Formats: sequence, structure tokens, C-alpha cells
Amino acid sequence: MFRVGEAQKSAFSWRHIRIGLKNAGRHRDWNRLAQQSAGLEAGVSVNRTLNCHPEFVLSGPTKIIPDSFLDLTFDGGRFLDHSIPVEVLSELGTVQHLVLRVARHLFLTAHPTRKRVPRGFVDAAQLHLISSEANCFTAHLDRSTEIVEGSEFLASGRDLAIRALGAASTGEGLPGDFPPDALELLAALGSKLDDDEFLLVARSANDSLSARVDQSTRAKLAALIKRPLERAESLDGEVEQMDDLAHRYVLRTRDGKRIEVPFEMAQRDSVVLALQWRPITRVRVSGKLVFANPPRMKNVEDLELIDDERAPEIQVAWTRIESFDDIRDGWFSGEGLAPSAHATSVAKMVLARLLIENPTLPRPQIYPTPLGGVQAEWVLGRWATEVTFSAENEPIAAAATHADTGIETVMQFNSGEVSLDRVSPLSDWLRTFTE
Amino acid sequence: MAEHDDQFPDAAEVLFRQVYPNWLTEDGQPSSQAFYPWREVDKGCLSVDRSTLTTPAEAHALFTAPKPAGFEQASAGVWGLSITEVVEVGIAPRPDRIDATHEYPENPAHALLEYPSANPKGWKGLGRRLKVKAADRGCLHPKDER
Repeated sequence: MFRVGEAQKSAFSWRHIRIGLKNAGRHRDWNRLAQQSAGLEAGVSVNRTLNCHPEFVLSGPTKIIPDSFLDLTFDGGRFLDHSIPVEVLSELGTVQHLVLRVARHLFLTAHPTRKRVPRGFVDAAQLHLISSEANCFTAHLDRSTEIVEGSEFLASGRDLAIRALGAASTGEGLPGDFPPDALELLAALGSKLDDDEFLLVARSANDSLSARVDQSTRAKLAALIKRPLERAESLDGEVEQMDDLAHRYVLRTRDGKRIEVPFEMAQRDSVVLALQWRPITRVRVSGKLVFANPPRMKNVEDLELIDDERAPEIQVAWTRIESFDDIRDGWFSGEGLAPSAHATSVAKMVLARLLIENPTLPRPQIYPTPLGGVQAEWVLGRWATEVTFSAENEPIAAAATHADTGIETVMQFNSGEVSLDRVSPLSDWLRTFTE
Repeated sequence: MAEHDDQFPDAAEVLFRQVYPNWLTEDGQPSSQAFYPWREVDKGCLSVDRSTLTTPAEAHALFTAPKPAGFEQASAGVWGLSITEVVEVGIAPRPDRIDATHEYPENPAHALLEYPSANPKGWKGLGRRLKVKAADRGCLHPKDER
């Protein structure tokens, strides 16, 4: 007798019940039968959840452990806590498309006079997630048992797809009968995996025909089929350039990589905003990263604006610099040039980037200089340091003096060393006084 | 005995320096530019007032008051450096009393800090050092806003 609602774990699962009933040839009304078998009253639904043992306690007579059509085990990384991010579930759809594409090819090859697959073939290829196991995460996929002409090719298609994945992982050539038009799907499988994760594709749990997919095997496969590797990525960076006509922009990541990213009209305002407010406002984009030269992103699913953690401090510094717009020539008792637009714009960008790239560097004290420049000062311990942005396009002057010993360091950074997009030499120099 | 010992017998005497408004941040930190002479007219000297002869508030009032009662100059606040602090970095203090004219009032507390003429390029560095020392002491006037 089945009892429902007890927390005790069972060696049996909902899948086993369903498959058992299915094997009895009554799969169209599995739920009703299962309910009856469990002694449930009509209208009470059976609890089926992903990634858990159902709250079924079987004291029934027979264990039924059937084979599923395909088992996908996600292991490592995010799957170690026995759950699966929803976005990764799209890999299941990729597998279904792959099997169908290969099966169709095999059918048409075996039937050279046919132009199309038989009626019902595509429906027969539909896979269903019938259960999961709380190991890492194993998804058991089954397909309809309806018999249509050529449906045996679905199993052949599955096997050929697994063999192709296996060959890719060992660096062998792909099976000769693997269809070229399925290469893209083959290469797409595993694109949602992180570096520390892998996917085991197996005909069934106890079968030897299986293949492991991870980023290493995907890279081998990409090389084998001479296509750039693609994988799902979420990137965080600055909008460095924008091509409005081509609807794309260059994203510069924190480690300096430049990636071309397309945008849709609905995203345009966000891209413009990120360009105007860089470096304090960045974008985070999710999509498929193509490891080509240069790398590019496609199929952008999401774009989000994010402010740097130091944005509030930088805003204060920018407001201070912007207040210099009110200063006129002769501001110091008849002497002193007003800060130039060049000095203020360079100071804003370089100081913002300095604060972002050097998290321990405090916000500087900022002043106009009588020569039309902008001075930024920090007292770092006993070191009085300053960076001066000149009125014209002259090198950035940096100096530090120890208040007690008088030891002094003077540096100059020309535009080739420190620019609006690169401040690391200046940042490194300042860091020597904070460590 | 150094020359300044006669003129400034109290090494702890503080010299008051007026800081121009643009050289003060919104949170009250002065620029090092306020602590070295940068104008031709300064001739390598910086104006200060002596604590033995005036107070920070009086010095500020005299500095900012309209002519002829004051010098009608802009100042956001008063910072101070001791005789010891300026002398140890190589700057020579000297009394420089200002007598009254038809345009200005007298200022008997006025003094000058003479920067070493042999090394004008080093004056900025001296300004940075003095800024740290002045900042350590804090704003002397107005106290409530700092």
C-alpha cells in the first residue's frame, strides 16, 4: 500500500511508478492510475517535484527500474548542492533539437527517395523530463512511446550524437555519418556550463554509451569543426565606444578585454547612459560569447546598468570639479587662470578611474591651480601627495613629499602612459604610499 | 644661535596663515598651494600673522575687512604653523610689521616666511610638508565650521 505525506525517503521514485504503469501500457492515464495505486481519492494530485525524493513511501511489492531514453547528469560547480539554475535547463532543449536533427538525417539517408520525415516523427522526438535525482543533478528524459514510422531512428540519432560528443572529448574525428547541419547544435551543447562543471550525456544510467561535455571538450570540438567556441557568459564592463548605426558597442571588461556587443533599440538608452557615465556606470550583459578574434557577444538576453561601489565618492569629486566652471580668470586677487575644460575633463576621468582601480585610495582633495589646471591631493600616512592636471595637454605631474623627513618623489606621466582609459602607472605609483 | 631666535624667542609661537576659499575643500581641507609662494609679487615670501600679537579671529577679521579698516582679501579660514615647524623645513620667519597707509590699516602682527631662494623648485615640496603639519593642528578659525 502506498502512503502519501510521510517524509521518509524511499528507494522508489515517482518515475518508477510512472514507468511501471507505462510499461503496463496505460501511460495515457498515469496520474489517475498512480493515484488509484496510492490509494488517493479523486482530485488529490500526486506530489511531483524536481530534484527531490517524492513524498511517496512505497511498501509495494516490486521495484521497477526502467531505462529512460536519455540521462543528463550535471555535475560540479553550481550543481553540487543538488539543484540546477533555471537558465541551465535550456541545455535540455538543445539535446532534444540535436537528437531530432541527427535522427532526421539518418532517416533521410536511409530513405533516399524521401524528402521529409514521416508525419508524427517530430512529435515522437519530443523529450519529457520525467524525473530527477538528487545526486548532483540528473535529469531523466523520456520520449513518447507512440510508434510512428521511423521512430527507431530517434534512438539511432541519440546514439550518434553521444558518439560524436565522445569523439570530440577524446580529440578523435567526428563519426563519418554525423550530419554537418547538426554541428552547430553539437557545439552549442554545454554552453551554459561554467569552467568547473560538466555534463554527462548517457543513454541510460547503467549504459556504457556516454559522453562527457565540459568547456575543455567543447573547445576541442570547436577546433575540430573549425568554429569559434561559444558559451553563455555574463560580462561586466564599460561601454567604451558605441556604433549607433550598426547597433553595437565595445564593452571593455575590468581586465581590459574588448568585446563587441550588439544592442536592441530597447537597450539603446541604457548603452548611451553607460557611455556618458563611464567609468562609474557599467553594464552587465548576459548572452552568448563567441571566442572569435576579436571576441563578440551574440544573443544578448539581458542588459543591466550597474554603478561602481565607489560611485557616490566619485560623484562628490565630480561635483567639486564641476564647481570650478564658476571660476573666472583673475580669481586669486586678480591673478590666476580659470581651470580649463581640458584640465577638468581629464581630472574627472582619471580620478574616477583611479578610485575604481585602487579601492584603498581615499577620495582626493581637489583644488584649482593658478595656471588653469586642477590639483588633487592626498595625505597618505605622512606622505603629502599630489597629482596636477595641466590646463593644456601637458604631462600629468605627480609629486609626493614626506612631511617629516622631506624625502620627495616627483613623476610625470605623458598621455601615452596615463590616459582616460588607462591609469595603472599612476595608480601603482600612488599605491606605493598606501602600502 | 639662529637669527630667528631673537625675533621669535618662543619656538612654540604659531604663525597664522589665511587660506583662499578655492583652496579649501567642502570638508575643510586646505591645499598645499596655500603654503608656498607662487606669485611673482610674493618674491619668495609668504604672509603670516603672529600668535603672540594677535588671535586667529582678529587676524582673519583684519585680513577680510573692507579697506581701509582691513585688507579686503578673501579667506575661508586660518591655519597655523609653529616656528619650529617652519624652521625645521628650512624656512626663515621674519617679522614684517605693516604700517598704516591711506589705503590699509596697520598690522603689527604681520610676518613673512622666507623660502630658500637657492631652490625655488623645492617650494612646492615645502608647501606639501607644511600643509600636513597645518592640517594636523586643524583649522584655528572659524572653529565651529571645521
